[in-house]
Amino acid sequence: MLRTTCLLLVCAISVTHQSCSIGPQADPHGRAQAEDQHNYHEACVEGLRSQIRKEFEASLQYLLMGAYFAQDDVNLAGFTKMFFEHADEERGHGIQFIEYLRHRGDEEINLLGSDPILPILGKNTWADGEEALRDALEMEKIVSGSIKKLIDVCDNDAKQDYHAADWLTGTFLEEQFQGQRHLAGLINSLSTFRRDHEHLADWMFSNNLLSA
Amino acid sequence: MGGHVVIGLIGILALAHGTIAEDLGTCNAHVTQSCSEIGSEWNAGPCNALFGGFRGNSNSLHQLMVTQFQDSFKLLAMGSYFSSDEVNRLGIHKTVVAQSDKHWSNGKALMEYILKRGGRMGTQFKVSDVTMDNVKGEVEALGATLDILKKGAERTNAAYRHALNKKMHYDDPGQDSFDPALAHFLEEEFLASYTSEIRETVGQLNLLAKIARDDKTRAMGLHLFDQHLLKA
Ligand SMILES: [Fe+2]
Repeated sequence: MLRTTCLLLVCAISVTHQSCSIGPQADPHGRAQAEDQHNYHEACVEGLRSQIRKEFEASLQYLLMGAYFAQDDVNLAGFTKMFFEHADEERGHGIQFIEYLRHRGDEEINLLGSDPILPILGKNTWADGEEALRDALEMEKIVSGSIKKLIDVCDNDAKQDYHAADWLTGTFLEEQFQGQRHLAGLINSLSTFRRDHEHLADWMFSNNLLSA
Repeated sequence: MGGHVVIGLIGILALAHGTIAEDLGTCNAHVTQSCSEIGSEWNAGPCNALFGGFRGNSNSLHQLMVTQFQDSFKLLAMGSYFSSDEVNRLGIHKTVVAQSDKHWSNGKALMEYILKRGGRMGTQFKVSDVTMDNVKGEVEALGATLDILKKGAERTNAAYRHALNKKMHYDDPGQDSFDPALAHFLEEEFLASYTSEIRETVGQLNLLAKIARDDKTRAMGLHLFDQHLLKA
């Protein structure tokens, strides 16, 4: 019966499991698992999963920042370039979290959840470049804070996941701190340099970012 | 008939998305007036990038942009299943995630284009419906990717048709949507690559489906085809 139904082309898409796919349960020896019970703990894994969405939310916020500076009445292309690069980086972080989870053996299918992904600050206009840079720094600190909490979760009692804690610290916090240092430096340069000639300074600063 | 309903619906859905600066008089008059006033504030006023029927396309373009980001997340969610240890179809994973990357770039390109034309990002910017319904088969994943590509191409066609609508709204010129520059952009940046990618995806799908439908070749064939995709 199934075979006759499957002669229809549609079947290739609708009843894949019986007809066009093997599926992970079909192995008579059972599927091998990458995760080991000594290091893999659900609480840490769940925390890692929840970080994916935060990275994407930061990414969308950076897109809005870049977009603001690309408006015809703002036109500071250096800020746009920087914020769009940040947007790509944050998306990349989200993907890195997915890859890390797969690396450790997580098999969860619904890694993104079903809620809408919103820009993390919910903001779409800025008074000037300095305000946007200060928001960017704030946003990085929010992310660093949630990574810190995540490290706590992964370093908990008898269920330590040292590797995840190390990866979060060595790879992620390292990058966060570099980003925070960089942004704070930019803000402090711009903030003093632009005093009494704001529009000229923003334009010059943006041009510097463009050639950076 | 269908076309009008779709365009109307997109218009209603997207009203919340974009806002556009008001167009009042000439830029030169505005400059002359503003610069003779006391103070140092500048308001762009009519000195904006808007021309022609762009305004009438703003909503459909925002909708097009958001669906690119949405499809990017959907493809990423779907692709990630295939990189787990149990499933381990890294070729399918690579193929689907490459499409996610492509849709992400598309979304950004549309965002940049909207801004280039004098549009704005509104406060409602968000990406909903980011998950895929349980897509677990290899052929199924290519099928779902194909569906996303074709829907995207159809949406682009609808936006294209709207951009070439010559109807004049004398009572409300803001609704005019004739915009050959936009049509050109959609054609060059989107429709050409959709055409190739649809063909490429469906070609792979039909090869794989034949191999996977045959009980004798399914197990080995899925593995070999996946390896082929990984090297492609
Ligand atoms: Fe990040």
